[in-house]
Parts: sequence; C-alpha cells; structure tokens
Amino acid sequence: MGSVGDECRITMFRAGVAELRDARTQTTRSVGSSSGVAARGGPELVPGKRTLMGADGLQLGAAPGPAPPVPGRTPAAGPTGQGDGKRGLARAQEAQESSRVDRLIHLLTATPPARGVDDWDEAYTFLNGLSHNLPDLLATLSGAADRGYLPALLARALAANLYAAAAVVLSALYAVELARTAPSRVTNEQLNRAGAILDLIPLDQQLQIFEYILNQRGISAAATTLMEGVVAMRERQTAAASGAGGGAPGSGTGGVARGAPTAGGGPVAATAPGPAPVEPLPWAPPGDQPIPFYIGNEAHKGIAHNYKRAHKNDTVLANNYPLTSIFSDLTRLGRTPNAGALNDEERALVPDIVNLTRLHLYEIKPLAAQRLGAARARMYHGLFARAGVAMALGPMSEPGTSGGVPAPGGVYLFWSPEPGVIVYQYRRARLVPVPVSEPEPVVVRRWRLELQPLTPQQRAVVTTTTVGGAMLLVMMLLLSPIGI
Amino acid sequence: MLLPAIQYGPWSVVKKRMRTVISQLKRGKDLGEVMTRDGMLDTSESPGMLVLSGIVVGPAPNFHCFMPWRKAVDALFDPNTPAVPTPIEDAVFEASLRTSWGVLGLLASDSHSWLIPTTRHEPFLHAALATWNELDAVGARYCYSSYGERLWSVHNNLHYVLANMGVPDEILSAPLPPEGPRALLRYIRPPN
Repeated sequence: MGSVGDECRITMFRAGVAELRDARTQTTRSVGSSSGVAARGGPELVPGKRTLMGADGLQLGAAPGPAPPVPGRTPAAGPTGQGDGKRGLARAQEAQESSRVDRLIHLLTATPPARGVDDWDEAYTFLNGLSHNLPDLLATLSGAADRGYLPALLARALAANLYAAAAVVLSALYAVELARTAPSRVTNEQLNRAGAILDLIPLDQQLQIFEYILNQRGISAAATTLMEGVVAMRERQTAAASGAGGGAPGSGTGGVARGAPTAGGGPVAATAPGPAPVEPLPWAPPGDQPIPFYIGNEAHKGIAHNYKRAHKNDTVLANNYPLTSIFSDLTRLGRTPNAGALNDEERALVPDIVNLTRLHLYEIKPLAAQRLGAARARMYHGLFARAGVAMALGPMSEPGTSGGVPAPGGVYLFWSPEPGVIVYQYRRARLVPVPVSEPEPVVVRRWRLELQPLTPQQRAVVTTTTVGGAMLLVMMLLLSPIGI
Repeated sequence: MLLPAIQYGPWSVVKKRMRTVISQLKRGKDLGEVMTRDGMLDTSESPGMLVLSGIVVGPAPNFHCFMPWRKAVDALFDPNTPAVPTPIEDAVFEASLRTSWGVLGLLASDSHSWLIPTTRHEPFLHAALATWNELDAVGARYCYSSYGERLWSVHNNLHYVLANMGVPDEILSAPLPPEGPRALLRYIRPPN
C-alpha cells in the first residue's frame, strides 16, 4: 500500500494534463470569466478572513465589474474617505437590489401562482430573468426571504420548471432556504432536493452556491477543504463519465488504456522488480466526517506525506502550520524572518506545504481549482517576502510533487502544473505498474503506471456520493468546525 | 505498549486537555508528571490509531501521539533567544527521551521542530533505537491519515535524523531489514 515516489516518475500525469486540458480550460474559463477578478487584472487577495471567500482571498464566481452586495445582508456603504464614485456605486447597487426584491415581493403578492403546467408564474418569470447573474439572483431571493416571503417562493417553486434556467433558480432558492435553516432542523428531503438540483448546474455556479451558504454561515476556514473535496469528487465523476479509471466492473482496461492518463513520456522507474501498485484505501471516513471533507483532507495528507518522504533531509511543514510556527522554525534554522511585518490574521494563515530547507512553497488544490491554488501560492509568496523570507514558488520538477497515492476507495493522481501549485484528481481506480515497451535490448526494465478500474469486489466496498450530497455535508461541517 | 491516557480520545477532547498540559509545561512542570496524571492506557486494549501527524477528526478515540510536542514547541519558544533552546524546552526534550511514549512523541513528524537543533540528533537516535521494538510491536496502527501502517512506513523523524546523518534515501525508502533501524547505522557517514 505504499505511495509511489519520484523514483517511479509517473509520467502519466502529463498525459493526464493533456487529456484533461479541455475540462480544465472550460472550468477555468467559466470560473474566471464570471469572477470578475480576471477583468480587474488578477485576484484580489485579502488574507485573514474566516469565510471561504476571505480565507482564500479569492472571490469565486462573483459577477464581473463591481463587487455585488453580499446576499441577505444590508449592503454597506463604502469606507469613510473613499471617493464619491464608489459610495455612489454602492448606493446604486443597494437601490437596484432593493428594487429587485420589491419587484419580486410585488409579483408574489399581486399575481396568482401558476394554475397548471402550461401557465406562467410572474414571480418565476422575473427570477428566470435574473438567472444569468447568480449573485443578483441570490441577493434577490435572500432579500425576499429576509422579509418573510420564503414560504411563498417555495410554495410556487414548481413553476420554475417551466423555464430554461430552472436548475439555477431552484438551486439558488434551495440554497437560500438551507442557509436560513438551523443545521439540526434540516431534513433529508430538503438536502436531497437541493443536492439533486445542484448537480444540474455547472461547477462554477455550484461554487457560487456553496460560497453563498458558507458566507451566510460565517464558516470556518476548514470549509475550503470541504470545497476541495467536492471539486475533486466532481472531477472524479467527470473522469468516470469519460471512461478514465472508472470503467464498468469487469470492463478490463476501462478507459485508461484508451488514452486517458496512463503513463506517458518522460522519466519512468528504472528498477528491476518494478514499483508497487497503488491500491485504494478502505472507505472509512472517521465518525460522521463529511465525505468531501474526507476526500479533500486525505488528499492533502497523502500528498504532503509523499512530499515529506521525498525530502527526508529537509524541514518540511505541511497542512497544519500557521505562519507563526513557520517563522519560529525558520528562526531555529538560523534565518531571521520579520514576523512583525505581518498582522495577526496573516500570521495565522496556513500554507499547505513549505520546505524551510529549500525555501519552496506549494498549495494543494484539486485540478479544477488550480487558479485558486496559484492565487493562494502567490499570496503566501508575497507574505513571506514582506517578512523578509526569500520563499519561492516550488518548482514543478521537484521530487514529491507528482505521483499517485492511495485514496479512500481509489487513488489521488497529483502533479505540479505550475510553480507553487500541486493539483490532484481523485480517481476510483488503482494504479498498477506496467513495463515500458522499449526497443531491445533492454538493459534496465523501465516501468510506468496505469490506472485500472477497480474490481467488482473493490467497488463493492466503496460508497458513492453525489455532489448534490455535498449540500448535506456542508451543513454537517457547519456543526463541527475543526482545527488544531 | 502503554501510552498516556491524556493522549487518548477524540481530537476535540485531547486538544482541550493539551492546552492545560502545555500551560503546565510552560510553568516548568515535569513532562512525565503532567502527561501521566490520568494514568496510562494499554494500546492493545484501546481501539483507534496512533496518530503521528495531522488531525484525525470525528468522535472515534485515537492516541494523538504528536501532542503536546506539536504545540508545546511554539509555546516554549523564546524569540529573544532563537538560537538557543530555553531551559524548559531542553528539559522537556530530555524528559521525552526517557520514556517510550516520549520518544514516540518526538518521532511524530509533527514534532519535527524539536529535531531542528542538530545537537539533539544523536541522543534522539539512541533513544529511538532503544525503544523501536516496543513501538513497532504495536503493528499497523500508526497513521498520518485515516488508516494505519507500520511505524517505519509512516514518515517520521527517525527518517529525518538518519537522512541528515548520511543514510541514503533509497535505504530509508526501502522496507526495514528484519533487525530494525539499527541495521541502518552502517550507512551513517562520519561528520566532516
């Protein structure tokens, strides 16, 4: 059950990158294009906040242009001293939001519900029109819910199905409902309903929905890990749908041998007996741990452990070390970080992997969140620079930054697509070594690793979880914040 | 093997206990005294993992072996004399070497900071070798994640110390010889 170190050089991941380029580009485009950060020339990093948005310093999926008001809260006026333009903009946004809420309430109270499947519902016609801008839609629904119209909205929810954007509108509606319900009072029916609808909308919109709920709840920083798990599981499902690593039981090589991320070119293992296969771990979430949190957390642990094993001589801190502790260890190593250059919130931030011997840092993220990982890595890079530490974004070719490690019910494939970032994919499969075909004579047998579908027996022990089920898990997480 | 009962339980419970332990250590209390105040537990009679790194959440009890070292090292750190460990820190380190559970605490990769001073490598190595068989006899219950492995399979500070003493990486990455880590001493390079 060992991990595969860099002596094996699993080059499949480059092939995997190529295979998944389309999906990644699509995801990146969709997140980036709707986030507004790209339009402003890059992510706006605000370290130290406790919400998902703030903890990552990157607002995923916000509308282009000026930041929208936080749904469900009274939009704040700009800070004292800001220009009239900004204050005016905030006032205009507030007025627009208020106007939308008023309009929705008017339609709910002054127009009748749809009488049948071929009848229109004015309120949902209006909401359908807002569906192109999810933050606006959420803000409008939140505003109406704040004024007591959530039951009316839910009572007429069936009417949403008449419209093309039904999934978006209903996802937003159910998110608003869940965000206002005490976690202990949420029913399975509510969660299943929300989860099923959530599965029908694109990933970037799912992220916006999650972000909305998390912001409403003032979630702890651990939520980012849960989100990563959701994203990783979503990727796994996408990969499975395309056949890679998720072939049907008994389908032999599944999609893997047909060009999915099998080992490609580049260095491979050159050992006689060959590397050990990477077998799935038992599916054993501790206690009631949310599944996406489990997946994301295990990925971080496994990848960091693999990195440490590849750098046995080095001082490597991973996953649980705030910058305060890192600065202390740097001091023990004879360096002189200026911790005072950062504020308390900044010093409490926790990078994923820092190698204090080589002065390299990495952020670990699922493939679909590579942009977020890069933004966080740059943020940490800047924080270290302010503290006088020449910490660099970790090179892509470093040992321990690519490979495969066991995962619950599968494997994590990971690699470094850009300096300072390690991305991973969760695949319900196993990795097995196969000899690299080479012209004779072969002096030293070289190996690559291929994804193989799980056997029916292996699959039988693996629980399936939909992304929609993640809604339930978000709520569970809200009840049990963790941290060292 | 016996481990302090204070290390055993769900993470949320152990974490709270350790705040008290660390504050007592800061006041100069003896490590053995504060860690064993609740008695000892036999690992063979107590289910759960022996966690060496990271956080294992959930209600299931585990031995969180990296505590209190993981947090104590920062609490005992004196930024005014960064190059020299405080007397209390030294006392905790030395006390740790006198018990198998203390050595296990230092073996945990989350206790890495304690092994940054190279002067500690040799005494730590001797203590680790002396207690290895007892620690390894627990079997595949050591973890950095949610599943158990043998002690040698989990990255630990013995790897770090041996690597810094010159033992080649391929030796440290290979399965341990039957005679245990003592067999690796022949690979140690004499200091320049």
